[in-house]
Amino acid sequence: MRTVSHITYDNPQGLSPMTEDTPVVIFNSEKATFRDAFSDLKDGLVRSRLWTQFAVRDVRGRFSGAVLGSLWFIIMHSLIVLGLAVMYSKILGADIRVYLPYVAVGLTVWNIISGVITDGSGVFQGNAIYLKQVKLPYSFFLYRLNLKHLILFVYQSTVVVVMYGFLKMWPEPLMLLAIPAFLLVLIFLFAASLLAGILAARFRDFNGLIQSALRFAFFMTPIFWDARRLGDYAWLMNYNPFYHFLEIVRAPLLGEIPSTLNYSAAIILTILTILASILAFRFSVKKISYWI
Amino acid sequence: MAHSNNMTSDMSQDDKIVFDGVSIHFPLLHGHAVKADKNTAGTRDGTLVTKKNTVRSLTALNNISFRVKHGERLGIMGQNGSGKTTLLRALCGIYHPHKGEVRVRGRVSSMLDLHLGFDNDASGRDNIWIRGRLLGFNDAEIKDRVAEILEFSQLGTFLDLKMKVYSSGMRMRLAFAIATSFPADNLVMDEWLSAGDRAFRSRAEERMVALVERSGSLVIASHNPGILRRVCNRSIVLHSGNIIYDGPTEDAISFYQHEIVLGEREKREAADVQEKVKSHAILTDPKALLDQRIDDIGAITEALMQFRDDKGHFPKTGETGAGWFGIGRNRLPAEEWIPGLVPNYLDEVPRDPMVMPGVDDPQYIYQSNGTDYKLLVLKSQDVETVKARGMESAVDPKRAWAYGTWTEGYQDV
Repeated sequence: MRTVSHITYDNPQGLSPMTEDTPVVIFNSEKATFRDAFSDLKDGLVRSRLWTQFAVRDVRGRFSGAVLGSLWFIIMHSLIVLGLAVMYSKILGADIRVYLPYVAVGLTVWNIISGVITDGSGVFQGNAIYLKQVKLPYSFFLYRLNLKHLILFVYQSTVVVVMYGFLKMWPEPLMLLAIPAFLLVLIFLFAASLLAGILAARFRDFNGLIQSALRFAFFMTPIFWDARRLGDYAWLMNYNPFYHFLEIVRAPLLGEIPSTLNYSAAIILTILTILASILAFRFSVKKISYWI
Repeated sequence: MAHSNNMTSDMSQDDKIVFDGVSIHFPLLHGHAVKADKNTAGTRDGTLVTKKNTVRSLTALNNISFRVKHGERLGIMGQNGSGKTTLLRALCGIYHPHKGEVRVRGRVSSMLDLHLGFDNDASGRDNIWIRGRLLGFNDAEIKDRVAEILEFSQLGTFLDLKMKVYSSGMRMRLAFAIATSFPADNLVMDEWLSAGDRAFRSRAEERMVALVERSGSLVIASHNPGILRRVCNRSIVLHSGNIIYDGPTEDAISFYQHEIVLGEREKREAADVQEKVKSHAILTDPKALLDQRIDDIGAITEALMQFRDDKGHFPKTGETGAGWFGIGRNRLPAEEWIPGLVPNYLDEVPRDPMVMPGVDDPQYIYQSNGTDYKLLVLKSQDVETVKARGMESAVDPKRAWAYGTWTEGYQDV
């Protein structure tokens, strides 16, 4: 008798007749292992077709039936970017040709960061219907959520691209630095959304805590203002984790090289978040369904 | 009750599903935890799990054991809240048991909700793909099934229309066709066939029986004896998380009708309590009991006062051979009055009755040797309540000391 102790469903046995070798799945009260957590992540990844489909449905559903459809994501974003840029370039006395790209890139990157973490804190409660009726990997819903925000990011990025063309800012090799940086952000966000989801499933207050922390961070992070304007207090920003993630993506796109501190802080934060989320997931992988 | 607890830990080749001593408790989280008080203390025995003085979880399944063999079609009956859905979820691996083990050979069609995942903005055909993928099948397997689903659901050209326009019967047919078209070694259903017209239902039932013969086993929870009678060859009856019957469906149905629907079980349980009460002679006369208790309070209070008059203070630990006495009032919830929790309790109660509010009318008197504790007297001002409830609590082994109900005459100051 072959026994699989971890939970796996990606291998349909149904089409072949039952043999002595048909695996026996066991659910018991033993403590979950890292293997359980990783096999959940893997099983979720295997179902990429479905979560892609769901993520696209999530995005499309927002403006389903509207004549302009998903174009609204772009319209909404460009309005906010333009509004902020015009207003604040006057208030702060900055050159709009410099300030517009700064705000556009900053806000676009910030939107995916705050979107993923905010939604992450509600992901398990929000999908309780699924989690209680179907045996699906928990990570399935995280892939779906992250992909949804990635799609929104792509929509919003068109605003940046059009604006670059409009301002006649042409691509430079330096901008390529933003690509690995953005991948790092995505990895960080996946781990952060998992962690936020678990915490908020167990302790409901995390939902409010995370949302208000992000709202707060929006103003505390140099998104529509320049960190250098803090003058002697610019070092304060080094303690803002979001600043580093924002900076490693934004600086190359504005023709600057992010500092070593930015890179190392972002990498260390990502590693810490991954470790924390894996530990939390291992602890909770057999319990989340009881919490929601 | 055809179960023994000494199940071997392996599965025979014939077993498709084994539940081996499975218990599941639902934690009461997110502010749902409640103080263990006289209300929760009265809740059905074994349903609540109490830690410290807070009810922490509800027991949904209590040491459940059964086996389902190849080709068996198992029905599950029980009232609402008896644990049917929890059992199915444990079978699917959604809830991991807190005790015991669930072993399943092969694949479970782990889809308890037939309509889950349907996208109204997509066509029926697209939804076959969504559902197929939710069930974990790959594209080739789904493609193979589309024709069969179309045939069984009799949707015809509707299959290519958006699901918005479907009638509920059409949705039901499509959902059922999808769920039963994908091969599963073990099919699990929760009230699946409650909808749909009669003609469809009988076709669906035929199809399920055929499917099980082909593929493996079926577990179906239902309130409908007709469906169980036609589909299942064996049934179990669940009652507050326990299996109270396991056997041929026909017998299980009549057992269920008799025990649960007609309330025979409840009557018998009530009779058991009555019987126990009768065996305690003194308890049959609550008035006499109460009088005696009140006399005791008077006597012990007097003894304490006498002690103080003689020695100038109230007795302390070790001062009397038989231990010492104290008096108190109902400042703590009843659950804390069990002997195991006495150390906390003694800290709470002032040893000197004169400094206690309510000394003129003490609610209880206890005796202690410093570690062990015995409640001597509990006074109630409510004779009627003692008559109504005191008798039962007196025979509760966990609360043997509770001769009456406590009163709520005092507020903590």
